[in-house]
Amino acid sequence: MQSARERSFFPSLLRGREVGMMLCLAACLAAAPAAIAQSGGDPEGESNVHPAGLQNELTNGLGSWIWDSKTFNNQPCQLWRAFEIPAGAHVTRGLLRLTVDDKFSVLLDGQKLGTGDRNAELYQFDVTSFLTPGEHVLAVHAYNATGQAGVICGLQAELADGQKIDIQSDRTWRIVPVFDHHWERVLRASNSWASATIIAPLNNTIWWTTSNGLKLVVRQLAEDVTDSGWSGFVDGVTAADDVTNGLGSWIWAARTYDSQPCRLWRSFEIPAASEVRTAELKMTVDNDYAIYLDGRQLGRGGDWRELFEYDLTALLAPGKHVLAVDAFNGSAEAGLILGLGIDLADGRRIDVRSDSSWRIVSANKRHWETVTEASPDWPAASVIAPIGTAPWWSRPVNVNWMPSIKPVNVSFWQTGWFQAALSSLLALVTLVSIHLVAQRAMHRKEQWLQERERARIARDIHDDLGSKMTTLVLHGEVALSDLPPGSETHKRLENICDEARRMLSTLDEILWAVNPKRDTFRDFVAHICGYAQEFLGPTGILCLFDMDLDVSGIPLDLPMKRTLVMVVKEALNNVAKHSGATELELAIKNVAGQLVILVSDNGEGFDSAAVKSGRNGLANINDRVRELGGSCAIISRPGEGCRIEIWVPLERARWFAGLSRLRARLKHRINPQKNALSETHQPFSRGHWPADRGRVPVGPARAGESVAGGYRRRPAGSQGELDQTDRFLS
Amino acid sequence: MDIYLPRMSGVECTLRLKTVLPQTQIVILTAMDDKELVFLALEAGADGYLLKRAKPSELRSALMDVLGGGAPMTSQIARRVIESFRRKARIQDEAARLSLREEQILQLLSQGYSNKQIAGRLEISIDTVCSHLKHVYSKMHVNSRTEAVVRYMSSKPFSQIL
Repeated sequence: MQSARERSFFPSLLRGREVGMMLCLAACLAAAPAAIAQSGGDPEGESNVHPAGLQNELTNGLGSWIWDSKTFNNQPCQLWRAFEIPAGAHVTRGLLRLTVDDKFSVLLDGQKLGTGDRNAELYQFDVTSFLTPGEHVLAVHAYNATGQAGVICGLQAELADGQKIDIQSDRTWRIVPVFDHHWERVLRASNSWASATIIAPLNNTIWWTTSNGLKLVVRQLAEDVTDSGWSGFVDGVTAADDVTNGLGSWIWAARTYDSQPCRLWRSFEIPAASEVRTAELKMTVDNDYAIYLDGRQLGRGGDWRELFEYDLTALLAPGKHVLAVDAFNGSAEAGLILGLGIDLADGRRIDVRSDSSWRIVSANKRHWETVTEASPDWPAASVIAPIGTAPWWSRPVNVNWMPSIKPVNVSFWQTGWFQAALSSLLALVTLVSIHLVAQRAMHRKEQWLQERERARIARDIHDDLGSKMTTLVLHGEVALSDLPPGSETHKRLENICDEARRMLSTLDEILWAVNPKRDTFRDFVAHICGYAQEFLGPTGILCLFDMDLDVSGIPLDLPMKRTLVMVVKEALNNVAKHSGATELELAIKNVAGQLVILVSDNGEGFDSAAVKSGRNGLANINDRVRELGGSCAIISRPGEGCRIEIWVPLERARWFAGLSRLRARLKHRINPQKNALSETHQPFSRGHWPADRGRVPVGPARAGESVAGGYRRRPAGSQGELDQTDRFLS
Repeated sequence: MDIYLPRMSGVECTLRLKTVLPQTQIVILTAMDDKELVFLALEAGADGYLLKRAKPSELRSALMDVLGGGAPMTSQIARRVIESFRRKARIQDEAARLSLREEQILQLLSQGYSNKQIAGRLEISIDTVCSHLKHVYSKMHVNSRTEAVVRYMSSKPFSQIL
């Protein structure tokens, strides 16, 4: 009632703003408590619908002073609130009033409404045209320079049906983290956005109360808020609200022509000991580009109608940096427009824009994108046109947010020295391998040639010498049959024939030795057995064999083959000449990669410790086995026979032996019948002889029993035919 | 049959002849006492082998042996036969395998015992030993026929055997 009366008293005396002020002063006494009660009593802050009226009251509809939970100097603060105009409602009038300590820029649905920087003034925006039915977002970029900080605001919407919607600054507002971008249009709050904190109620002693001189400033909508006005003001405020903010002019080389590459270069510096809070690069090129920061490619783009935005926050450390754009003009107009805004933690801002400070780099310069100092012969870029000039846009049709770029973590294996070391090591290994392979190939070739030569010798002996000797024997036999038996000539002829036969048998042996096709364990065994039977046949000594069949395929090279044949012959010779044995056992085995030859007899034996002088070829055996890298043990005691053990390593055979053993095991598993048989085939072990052979028991080599050795003189009796082959081959 | 013949080896010739004339007995007469070649020839179907340097009397008795069906087998050949049968054990059917007794005899042979000693040890007659050996030979021939045809017909130059 009181206010109605006052209004009727003063209409003609007071006009314009003064009228409002007076009204305000009077009305507040009644209205303000209601507003405070309203905001406190309804913390959820749903849009409230009031009866119409009191809309002219200056502070009518304002909420409380709100801010982030913490307040500090040079503090940006982003405040967000979504609301809804009910479907079917028609807003006849919508007024937004707000002020901020110290500065603000306000946006509704992402559209900038305006700015303000005096907290003693209340800024009013007419937002009627925005408030269509549906969801809306109110966003405030605020900035506190020093001291206390707060935002107070109220949006009142009057509906055609007389209802009123109130949006006030209260706890329902959300504080958007300063590093978030493009939140001004977001309809749903993120969970990470904290609620606003109420700093003070509407009437307080920090700012103003309804009773002191608060001014209302009516602001027009965004058109009259120019970019220059904003950027002059925004110093320190994050997140430019206009996509064209911070951009420079369209620049290019002095001359423009079709299919033209153009390299643009600029360096900038971030002061030492400063911290980059945000860094955003916006750019586009007519027609396309690749952009490099410090030599690292950030990305490419190819549509001048759109802007490309890169977040470089993580890439920029204090120090000197280089921006390089490798641009290309397809046809007609060409230009680069770019803006890099860097906000430092201390509130300073660095702007790098496309302008004449850029340099044009000649096309033939290599690694120009990493060069930190401009060469004096690089001309400055030419400004083609300011932003907004036709044929280009004044606002891009789209802004492409590029994914934020992370610094490259250089691990130790990515560093140059490591890679160099690794590659040189690899090269070395490769060289060594090649060398080894070549050596091996040469060795093989050598071996192959040797074998071929041996095969040729074998063929020659066989075809020529062999057949001729056979003919000789035949002729001899024919001649013999013509002579009466018993005559002197008959006897001589018989001798000749016998000698020729012995020569043939020697030839056989040579042939066997040189034939590379007979270089296997199997052939060796067959040869040795054949020889043993032939040799021992006339002596009446029973020769028994125990041979390893599973290792037949193992190759024995010529020197080994030859030496072993010699050794066995020597041993057999000994038995035949000295032992007086009736039985002899010859065993040839492969034991763990060692070729083992055992010759043992049941003869008289001898005291091996007592034998000092070479009465037989035992020393000879020992020497030959040592040459092969093997060992030899001759064990005998008077009356207990003699046993010669020869161990020779089969270096090359080891692998084959393992394989054969495996194969043998498999075979036995598959064929159990063979298993039963193998029981008669006694497993060999050193110093063990199967009892069923009527063997004179001979114990294993003991320390006291000597290993014959040290003889130098080769006994005359043991040479004879044995060495014929030997001489031939050596 | 000599082993070294102009157009094919004696081994191959034996094999072919045995296919055409299975009843004909073939004795290998060779200058060189090469055990491996002898084995191959026996495998190919030869009924015995002799060295050219043998005395006329030995020649005659060996031929008589073959005619009498008692092809002798040396311990080396016996060893080779065992080995060869073991190698083939996986791929051959049951009928082509050596019987237990046959393998026993071969084992003893390979250990150096004579037919007579084997007969004594196994307490069988020497004729039984000989007939077992005959079976071994025929099994060897059956075994080898298909395989050996493949082996020798597959253009393996003779020089590789020597």
